[in-house]
Amino acid sequence: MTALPNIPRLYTALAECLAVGIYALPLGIRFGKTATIAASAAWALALSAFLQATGRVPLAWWIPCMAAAVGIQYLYLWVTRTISLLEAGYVCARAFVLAELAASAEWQLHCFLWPQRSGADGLSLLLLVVVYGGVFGCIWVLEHKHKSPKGHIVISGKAGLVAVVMAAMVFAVSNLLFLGDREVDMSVYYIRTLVDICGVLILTVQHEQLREAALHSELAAMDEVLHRQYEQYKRSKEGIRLINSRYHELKIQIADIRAERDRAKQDAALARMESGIRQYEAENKTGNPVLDTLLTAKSMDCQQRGINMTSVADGSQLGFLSTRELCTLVGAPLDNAIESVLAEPDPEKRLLRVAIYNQSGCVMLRFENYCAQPVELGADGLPVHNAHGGYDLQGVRAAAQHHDGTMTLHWADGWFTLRILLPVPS
Amino acid sequence: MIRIALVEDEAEVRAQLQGYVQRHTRQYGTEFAVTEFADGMELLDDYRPVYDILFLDVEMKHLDGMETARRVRELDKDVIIVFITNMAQYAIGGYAVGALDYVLKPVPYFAFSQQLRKAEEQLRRRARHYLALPVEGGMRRLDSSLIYYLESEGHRVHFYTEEGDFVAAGTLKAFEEKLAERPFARCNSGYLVNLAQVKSVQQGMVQVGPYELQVSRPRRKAFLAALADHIGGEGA
Repeated sequence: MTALPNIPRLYTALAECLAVGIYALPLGIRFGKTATIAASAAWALALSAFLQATGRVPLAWWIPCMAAAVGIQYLYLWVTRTISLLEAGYVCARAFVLAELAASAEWQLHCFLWPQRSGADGLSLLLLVVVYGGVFGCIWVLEHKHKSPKGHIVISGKAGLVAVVMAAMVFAVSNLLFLGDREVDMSVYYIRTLVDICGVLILTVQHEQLREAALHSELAAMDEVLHRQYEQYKRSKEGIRLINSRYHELKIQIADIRAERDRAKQDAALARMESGIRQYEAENKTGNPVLDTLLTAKSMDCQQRGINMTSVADGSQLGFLSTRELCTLVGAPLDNAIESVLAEPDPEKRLLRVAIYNQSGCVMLRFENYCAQPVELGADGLPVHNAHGGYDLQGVRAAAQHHDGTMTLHWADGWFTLRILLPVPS
Repeated sequence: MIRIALVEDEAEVRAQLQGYVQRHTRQYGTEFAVTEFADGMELLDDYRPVYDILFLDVEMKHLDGMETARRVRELDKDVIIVFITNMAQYAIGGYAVGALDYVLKPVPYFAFSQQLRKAEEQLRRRARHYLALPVEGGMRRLDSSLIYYLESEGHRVHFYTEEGDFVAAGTLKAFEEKLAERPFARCNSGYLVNLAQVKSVQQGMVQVGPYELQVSRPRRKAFLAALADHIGGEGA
């Protein structure tokens, strides 16, 4: 049996570039699009050149050279993508194992079919395209079939360590066989490919678990928002019932004042009553009892906090929403607006406007608040920094989309505007 | 010059708001012509739709603000109505007369001034906009608010309007750019829809005037967002 040739270095380079590319694509970029593309191209060329140049180094230098190649990938990931050093390590480890698998499987097939052909041969290149296409295509589909929540998964230190150790183990086991004195034969390639498959499988399963955990915590947070608004609504309902019984008492008081003969005492009693009534002014009658409760409760809240909230609301078309949904769609934007105007030091500028009306077969819910500071919106259209960590408005958007509607946010001329458009089901 | 009608039965409040308008002019440079009325009856007596903004006191002796607004609306559907009230619940039914906001008494300058700014913005958006269209046998001037939608036909564009249908030379993209400041959005790659003419949106279809058009999946999100911003921008 003749010694089998090892994988051409450019094949390895291509596998590394593709693997890093597949895992890096969904990550947020640190600089502009053009800069990232340019950096990626330069990096791919540099890596290929480095691997090609170090292809014939003595065995003792081989491991440091591989480490340097991995280091280049690691640096590339960390510099161009908005990830931490730990995350870069995690992605780099995954990419490395995947690249090992693709290169190993491809070369194994190559040696099995035509051990004597060179890597630059036309047929060899065709095989390269087919095998890399197959392996990376599969991983691409797996990675992009379900988008990760918010495009960002929290990598714990443990997960990062597992990935890096796994990559090192896979590399060690699959390459130890080359270090011995014995001839390299097909069995070595088999073992290497199998070990690489195991590595990719384990890391993919681990990643899948992390993704599900992230999804789960996001759902839990959204549910928490829904629940909070609903609880608030229940509390306000009780409060408003108490107020209505107060009205009844007031009627009796009025009768007493009428009966009072002393003018001064009468005036004093009236003044007391007037100040007592003022806080109940906030009652709303919108045509939707849930909306009434929500707006009444929030406007009382605003009165207490010195916010000038005005609302004109037609709730007659909102019957298709469940209580919970309405709590989210009205409660969360109001909380967000209240939080925002409270940052305004001048009480006269704490303005909050609510308008709910029907137009074009849709319901429009509009919440505007004065906000001198510009509000920066992220790529997902939500504020980059907001008081509620984004889950509230994300929940609002999800609720709107559930009814084929939409939510938009804008900041202009000192006003922050949140609009929800919901088509009214016919 | 923006024309304001100020309907308020308390002379003091009228004087205060006059002062606010002048202060606003000093601050932002917009010129206003204010006409004062002491009662709704006075305003409605020989009413002509010459005002841009109507500030209406809700609690007035002879004819209250809400009833006044209702009667004004029968004669004038464009004027922006803003209520002035000392009891919020009297104004919250304002949507029935297209009055989507109010100011509470005692009126603070800042809130009033912001109302004026919103109204100015509203008036700016309502300004007429005309397109000069190269049609067969010459040019045609068209009020863009009368358009239902535009359909791409290669290097020509089919116009569907309240004034009938016709074809003009040019690409849909070019017209889209000309209408960038107006409420137009594509519901799919071939149709540019006037959002002001949208009657309803239902399961991937949009009713535009008498036409029912398909909303394509890739355009759906952006189209709905544009519609939300258009509808949400109505009513100061």
